[in-house]
Amino acid sequence: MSLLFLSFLLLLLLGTEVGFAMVIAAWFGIEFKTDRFVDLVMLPTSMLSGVSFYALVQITLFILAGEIMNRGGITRRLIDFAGVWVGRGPGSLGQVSVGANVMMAGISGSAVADATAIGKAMIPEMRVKGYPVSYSGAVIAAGALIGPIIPPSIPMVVYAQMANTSVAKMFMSGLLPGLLLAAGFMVISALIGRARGFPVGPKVDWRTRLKVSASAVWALLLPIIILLGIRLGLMTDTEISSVAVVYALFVSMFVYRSLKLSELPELFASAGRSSAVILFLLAAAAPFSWLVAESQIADRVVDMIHTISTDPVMVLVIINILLLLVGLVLEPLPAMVIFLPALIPIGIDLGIDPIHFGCVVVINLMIGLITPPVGLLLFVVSSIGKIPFIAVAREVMPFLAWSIVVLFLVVVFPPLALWLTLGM
Amino acid sequence: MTFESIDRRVATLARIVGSVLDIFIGLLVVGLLLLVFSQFIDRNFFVLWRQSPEEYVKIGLVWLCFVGLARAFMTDEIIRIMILHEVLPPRILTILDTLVDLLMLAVLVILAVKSVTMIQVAQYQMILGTNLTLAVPAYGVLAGVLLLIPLIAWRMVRRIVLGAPRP
Repeated sequence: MSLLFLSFLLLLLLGTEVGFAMVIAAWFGIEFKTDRFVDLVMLPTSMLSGVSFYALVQITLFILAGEIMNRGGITRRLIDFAGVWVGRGPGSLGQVSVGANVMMAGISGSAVADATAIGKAMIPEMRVKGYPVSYSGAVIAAGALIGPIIPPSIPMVVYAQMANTSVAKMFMSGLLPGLLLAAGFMVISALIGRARGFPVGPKVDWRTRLKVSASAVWALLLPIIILLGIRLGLMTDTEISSVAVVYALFVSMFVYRSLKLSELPELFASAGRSSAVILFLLAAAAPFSWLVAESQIADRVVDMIHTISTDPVMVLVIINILLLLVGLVLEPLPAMVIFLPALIPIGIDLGIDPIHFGCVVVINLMIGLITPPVGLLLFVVSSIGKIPFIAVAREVMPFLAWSIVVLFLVVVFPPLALWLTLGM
Repeated sequence: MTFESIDRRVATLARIVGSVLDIFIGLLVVGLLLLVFSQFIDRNFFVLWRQSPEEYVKIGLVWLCFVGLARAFMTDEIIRIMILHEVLPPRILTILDTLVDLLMLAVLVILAVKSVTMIQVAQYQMILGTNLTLAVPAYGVLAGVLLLIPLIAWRMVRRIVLGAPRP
């Protein structure tokens, strides 16, 4: 068992692609397995099984929907909509970024896609209007964190598949925590804007507001369709992903006319490549997880945690501290496929609702996206805005602190995650 | 013929293969979209399916995963942690990267050989709700692995000869 993890960690450190690090570690694990013989045909067989899940098609389709939105002008209209409705107080562009991220979150489900789309539009605009560029990067990175928490969410699909729970319930569990995060980010933006004397926004008359809103109606309908579809059970969660793509294509090509037919092949191929990398993580995690299960590591960890506490809330706090540390160095999806096979049985053993547990795990690991040294969103905005990484990391601290507060609230008050899933 | 000219020809071949793979991947995604959306139509409006579309989606996902991964390797869209790459000198990195590539090649060869075994068994197992056998998705694993082997091998050769950074 120790060989499995040691070789895996070593390979990660050496810069091996994460999925391959798991496959190579699993190969070593099988070769050095002493209690019984396991044929290496188990490797491709379990990898094939690991990715043969119908629900996983949502990963591909939601990535595709996000790409269509970005290239089809839907994102720009959502930013404009947030711009005319958010107040004009000092630092209001920070709030516009958060607001636009919330609306994007209701469609795309990928933090990196949201940060890229909003960052490309907002960082130059904020720079021109006199905002410190490191602050602009920080508020956009923090806002993008909401993407995988508000439905739809790719990490929640991955969790649901690994924990064998309902994707729709997982989606709904993230809505309230996501909105709570957004509300806090907006307040923080306002406070920072006032304290540091950021520019005041221009006055927007009602005619402009109505014009921009009318233009954004089609874009705004998409998150509503997704949320109602999930909550009312009008479509299955997988069907929603396809409806989202078809709707985004229709709006981009025929309503906004900003996406050409000739752009579609590259767009579909790009979405396919991005989703293949995520799918391969799940495929590679299958033999790795099998070896983890064989070694009964979860039982040992449960025993160890039991010696500290048997209170579910306390155990959740311990698991969260562990995952926050993991999030410092690992990206969310690799962290999920590595640690969930051991953590999910612990949650079940202690009677923690798997939806609540999943929501907590997803929020926790998403926080890792804005924590240095390996905060992926910090890297994304640094690269887009040509901003020093350290400067963004420093500016993101107030937002990071609020994210940890929200995580703690979701741990302590399960209804925050579970209330909207009642009756589903 | 110099190594540089061979390298240029390999790069041209890689671009052609890459374009073909992009078309294939794009078509797979279109296929997946059509399958899932047609199920929505089938469930709510009129009957489209007699067979089980879920099983076709699963097959498509396997092919997309492994062939898409090979293409993602070509375009360097993979997930890696680069902590040591920030601090170690280039010469040591070249040795470490070559070691990693050797390990990847070894595991890819194992996967290729064992995928053939898997296909031999799978061709006698029908996928319920379809007329296909389990060999169809299993070929997807093999295809992806066979695309990755020359890619990793050439990357390694290039690094040794030219000292070029990965990939």
